[in-house]
Amino acid sequence: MTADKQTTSVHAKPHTRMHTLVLLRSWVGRDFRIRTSQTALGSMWSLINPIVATAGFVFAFHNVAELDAGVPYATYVFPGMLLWNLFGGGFSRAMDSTAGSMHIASNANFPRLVPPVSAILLASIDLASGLVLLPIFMLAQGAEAHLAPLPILGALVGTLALTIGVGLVAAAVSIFIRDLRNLLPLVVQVAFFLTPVAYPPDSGGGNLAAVFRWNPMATFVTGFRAGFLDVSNPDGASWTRAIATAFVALGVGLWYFSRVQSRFPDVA
Amino acid sequence: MGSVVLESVSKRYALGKRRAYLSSAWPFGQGTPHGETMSALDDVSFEVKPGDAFALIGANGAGKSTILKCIAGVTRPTSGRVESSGRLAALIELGIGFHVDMTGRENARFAATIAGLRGKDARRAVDEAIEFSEISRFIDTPVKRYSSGMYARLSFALAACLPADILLVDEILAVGDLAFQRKCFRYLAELRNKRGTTLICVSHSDWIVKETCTTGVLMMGGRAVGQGELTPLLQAYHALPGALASRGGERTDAHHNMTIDSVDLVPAGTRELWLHEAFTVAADIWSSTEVEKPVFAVNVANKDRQLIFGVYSDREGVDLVPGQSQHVRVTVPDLPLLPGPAVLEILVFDRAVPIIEGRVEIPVEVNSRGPVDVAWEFGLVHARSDWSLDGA
Repeated sequence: MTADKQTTSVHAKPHTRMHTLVLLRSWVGRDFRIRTSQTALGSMWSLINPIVATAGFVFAFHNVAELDAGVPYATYVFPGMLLWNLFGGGFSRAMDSTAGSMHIASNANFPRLVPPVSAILLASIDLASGLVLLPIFMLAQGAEAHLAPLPILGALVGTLALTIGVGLVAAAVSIFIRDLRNLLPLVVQVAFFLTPVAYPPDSGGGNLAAVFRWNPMATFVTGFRAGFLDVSNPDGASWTRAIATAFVALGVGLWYFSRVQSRFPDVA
Repeated sequence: MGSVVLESVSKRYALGKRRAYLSSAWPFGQGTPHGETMSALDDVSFEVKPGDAFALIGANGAGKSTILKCIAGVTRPTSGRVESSGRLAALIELGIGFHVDMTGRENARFAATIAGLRGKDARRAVDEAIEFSEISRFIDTPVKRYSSGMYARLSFALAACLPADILLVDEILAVGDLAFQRKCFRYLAELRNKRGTTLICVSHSDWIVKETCTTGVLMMGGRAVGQGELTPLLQAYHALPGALASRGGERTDAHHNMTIDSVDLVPAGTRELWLHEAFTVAADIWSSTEVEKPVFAVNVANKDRQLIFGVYSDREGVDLVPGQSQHVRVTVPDLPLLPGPAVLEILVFDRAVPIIEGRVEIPVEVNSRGPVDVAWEFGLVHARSDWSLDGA
């Protein structure tokens, strides 16, 4: 495709994939720089957050509620929480970054998809850096390593797809209906407790099991954990359902966002 | 490359404040909000050819900026088609895409990435823009520490130095001080001559438009009312009755208490006035019986639309009679205005209710028969002066 021959309507003009990918990469770098600008600890914050959260859960579920996961509790909670942060954190940052990047929406050559997607990709960098701490937890608590790459990969890909899909819909709708900026964080909060992050999946009984079946994050979190520790991996049916749900969400998210994004400047 | 075509483009905006834009969130259909809307653009068609320097002329609310936004793809027309070929660069708002926490250089690099530049090309364009902006000392400081002038300079430099076949500029006057503005004009002319860049710009200042553009379109209330050579368009623009030219001043009731039925200079059709000579305006006006104190006025403004002086019938002790048509003739015996373009603004209003009832502008050119050299003149008017020298 050469720019000098074609006559395209600017509105139909597709941003070339290459251009979008390049922009995505620079936007992630830009977000990272912005997040660490004027902070003394800089990127250390992406490690401090999960450590403090884990400490909180250790106190609430282990010390107070005396929950037993079969594996040292902090080691048990930590990987699940990293994965949940990718979903919950990525979701809310996708929403914020879309609302916060309306100033750049006036740039004709800028695909509006870039800010929310890169916010989620940045959340996955947090996850990666958090994983560095996992061996330290395991060594400190004497937990046995039980590495299985497939569930790890499945959980990562599934969570990423689900987060991008759901995050794009949320980001777009909340531009038009701002109530969602207040409502959706609450929904994520509720979803957190309906996902076996801080407790084992078999500790809730029948009703909870039904919830887990339709909550893809339950499968991803449990599976992610099973990729590192000696705990049970969800069955094949759960995996299939969860991955399928995630990719349907991704498709719907991409479709919806690209359908309505041209209306942002008139509303935002 | 570098052409833009608009085909019956219309754009409607919702009026008023909404709690939530439910219909926009619905992914099927047009997504236009229901309820009260206003038409910002109404069936606008025109064509800009490659290498043109094209001006959008019109009063506030005529739809000029909406056209730029439609061309830039910022907003989508409600109906109609916008086509452009070639790379677009738009300077519609200053600092588009700047993040305040990032340095000038980081923002510039990112702008280059958005424009599709990579590697060596990006570095060269960024260096060029930084040099053009003349703010290299501050380029590694976050832009939130910038003065508004530095911000404007970097914005313009990026719009100008990143590769583009079509450059859209809204209100160039906003850019920096006089010296930098001059530099911008020179650069725009150079872009057009050397690279064949198409320029589309909006400005309220006649001289800016004249200095940069050769053709254009005249907008009025969201419609394109004229297209072609710039000079007749500007004349037509200034001849438009002000109340109609600006949507902001549009009267809701069609009922006027006073009207200017006809007005012209004497002899009719004269558009050339002479420094330190007389000029005469003649008009047929009408006022209703409701008017308490009818006033006929002639304001004289210079090319920058700065009011120089005005003559008002009531101040001169001329009492117009309400409730009838009258022929008014006013002569200014000595016009002190410096040579150059000027505007006569003819007004009728009721002194008791200060609302302009009728308004007509006549663009004129002031010339000099005497030895007044424009290049040597400063100020707004030319005063007669007597001199004497003593000694030797």
